[in-house]
Amino acid sequence: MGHDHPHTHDHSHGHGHEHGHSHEHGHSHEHGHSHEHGHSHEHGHGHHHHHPNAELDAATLAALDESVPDSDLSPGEVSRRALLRSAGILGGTAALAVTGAQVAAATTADRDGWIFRPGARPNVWLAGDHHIHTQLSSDGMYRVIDQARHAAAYGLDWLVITDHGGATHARIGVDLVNPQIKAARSELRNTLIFQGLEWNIPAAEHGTVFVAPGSREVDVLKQFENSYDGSVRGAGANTPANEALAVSGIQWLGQQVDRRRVADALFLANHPARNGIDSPHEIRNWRDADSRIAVGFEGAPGHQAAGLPEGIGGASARGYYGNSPNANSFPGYPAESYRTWGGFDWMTATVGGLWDSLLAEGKPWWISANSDSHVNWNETSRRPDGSSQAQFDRDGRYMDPVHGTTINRTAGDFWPGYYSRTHVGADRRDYLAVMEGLRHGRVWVDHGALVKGVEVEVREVGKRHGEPLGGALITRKGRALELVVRITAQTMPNWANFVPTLNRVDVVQGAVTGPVADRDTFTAPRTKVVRQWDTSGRRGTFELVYPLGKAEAPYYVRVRGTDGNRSQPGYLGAAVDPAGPQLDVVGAADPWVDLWFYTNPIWVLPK
Amino acid sequence: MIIAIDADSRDTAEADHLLYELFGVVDQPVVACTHMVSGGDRPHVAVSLMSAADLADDIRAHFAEHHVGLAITRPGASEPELSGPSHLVRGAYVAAVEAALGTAGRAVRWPGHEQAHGVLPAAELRTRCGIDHLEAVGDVSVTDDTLIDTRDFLRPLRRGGRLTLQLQPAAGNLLIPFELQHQQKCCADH
Repeated sequence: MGHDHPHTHDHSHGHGHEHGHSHEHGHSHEHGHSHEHGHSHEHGHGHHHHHPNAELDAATLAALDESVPDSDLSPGEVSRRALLRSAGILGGTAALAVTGAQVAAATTADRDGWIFRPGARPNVWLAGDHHIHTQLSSDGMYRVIDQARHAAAYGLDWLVITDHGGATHARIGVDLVNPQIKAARSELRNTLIFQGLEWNIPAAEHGTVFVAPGSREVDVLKQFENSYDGSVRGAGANTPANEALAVSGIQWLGQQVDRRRVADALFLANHPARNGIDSPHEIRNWRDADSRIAVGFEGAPGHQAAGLPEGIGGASARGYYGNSPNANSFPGYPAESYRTWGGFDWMTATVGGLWDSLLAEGKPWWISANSDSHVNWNETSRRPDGSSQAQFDRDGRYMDPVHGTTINRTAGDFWPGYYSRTHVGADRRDYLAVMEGLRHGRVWVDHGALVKGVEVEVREVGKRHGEPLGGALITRKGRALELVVRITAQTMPNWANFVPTLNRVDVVQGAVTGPVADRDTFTAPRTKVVRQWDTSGRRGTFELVYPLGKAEAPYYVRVRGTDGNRSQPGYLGAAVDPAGPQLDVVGAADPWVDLWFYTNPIWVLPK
Repeated sequence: MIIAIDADSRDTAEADHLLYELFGVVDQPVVACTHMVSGGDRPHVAVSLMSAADLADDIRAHFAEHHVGLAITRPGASEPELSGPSHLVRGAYVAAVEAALGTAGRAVRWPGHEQAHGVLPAAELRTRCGIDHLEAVGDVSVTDDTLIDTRDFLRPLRRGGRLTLQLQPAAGNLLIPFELQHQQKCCADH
């Protein structure tokens, strides 16, 4: 597609021009790998993200380096040198060598090898949302019970309260929200209400962190926030030390589970591509810090009402994905990554893109879809008079909302369950089972209640059952396999009061190629859409079967579906994705006429 | 001459603010850009000014009391004049190199910027505003008569010595700049 990346991050350029900076990062993770599949050796390079001279490309560095004679330069470099000489810039390169500590990103031993988990067929599908704010967020307004009752009314079985980390929240908010959550749990007996927080990931975006309920849920969250929150610790900038703090935070959570302070803990990254500040290597480092804890990211961000057109909505960017690159942004990400595509984050919406590059490594990384509800579209309540930022800072929460006398048409959020749902396949309807289901990737997500049910499995031809979502089918080489997608078409109207129609279902297949050499990789060249089914007019429960052929080399498959209203060739071209989601248009992104579901993958591993 | 300043601006908005302050100081036609400094200890933004006039005294005087990195380059000089704290000198030097080569940088002032108002057809925007190339994200096509709402705020990028303006689709069958003036700060109020 000829995308011209202005700041392509070039890892190939010679370290010889880096003016004496050694890169002895001490990669302890290069040792102790399991070498079952012969891909583990090559990690080292990826951590050299913080080149001292990351801004300038190899040709410019060569042109500047006067110890290299003209005769050793390419014609292009010679002309660059001439330009720089005439501008009077040569001779200043000592400035480039002046940097302070170039601290290595301290990543931990990467417990390498494919991580396979036995896939268990879920007994029950539980819909939920792991990204919800209340009056304990400086930009929120609702009580916990407001959010929980609406979530339950709109059909959710579980939710996570995730107020922003920060000084006030760390001091008292994390304590104050707990009685509200406990009261909501006893009020709504059938709804699972987790306490979590929205972590300012050091050096990166936000993420959901939550724990299983228990006597120490507040203690663990509070200690985590005070020790590892990027805002509390002033660790927001994209530095190696801050990246390392994020990794430590994830590991610390794992230790709290090991020590049984909490029964379980999970972390999922939120709105990962919004500002380009979650670099591919950071995501990989979180995953590898403790893969029990760091399990995925938002495939679709919240704020889905934000792109509603003027007159009925805020006419902003869908998901509030309207920004452009800044100082902390990963230079390799293209402009397209800063927008949503069919309501989904570019990392997930791009077939063969960043998410697929993680899956192609043969390691789990799952997607979710949430509301990020702060203030909802068409809200008529408001914060009461006197409930100011100063009052929030003092009391740790805004005062309870009151009836306003106007309607807020420009608010960009929907109530939990109103538009975005994360469906988790669980053994039982309880807290730990939801967390297990999320961890095992037995998850599919949808917008606007596009479908009533989705079951996916890969099985040997002739067998009755196979491997469900999130699982890995370990099979003999040469066995004939098939993908079975069992859809239950929607019969009930959604919360915009129409019955959505699923008009197309796509299969995405990608080769598993093992751990990447460059941890800033964000493409998977061997992943593409392999099948598109026209499902218009299909009713009830129906099966779509895609023959996968004989198992030879490892791969994964995943599935998505759409109402078919808005499509364009995928970001990586029509050969990869002939009819993918469309780039969302600022001020003209009505989310109800652009509905998609996405499933997590199933792996196939011939032996 | 090129003068590059690294005042440790946190983001492009802060760097723009610094440049507007300097436009009041130098009162000369300039090409002014912001430059991402991502290779040091903490990512931030530096700025550069290119001008036919000698701005050095005005700029030096303006920053006399400030800790900024300064790189002052004159055509034909054997080396640039560098001053300031070392970590900021580095950013200033990087910005000067990018300004000289035209390989990177986000333009805030350039010949033609003053014409960037209202809605213009693509061809007219290019000629009136001195933009070499228009490019829409997501493979959206731009023809000569495509209407572009400048929203009175353009920040074209320098690439390969050319000025490229990135665009995105918007309501009403218009294109608008990819970079909008008002960026959504995280947890601002949403």
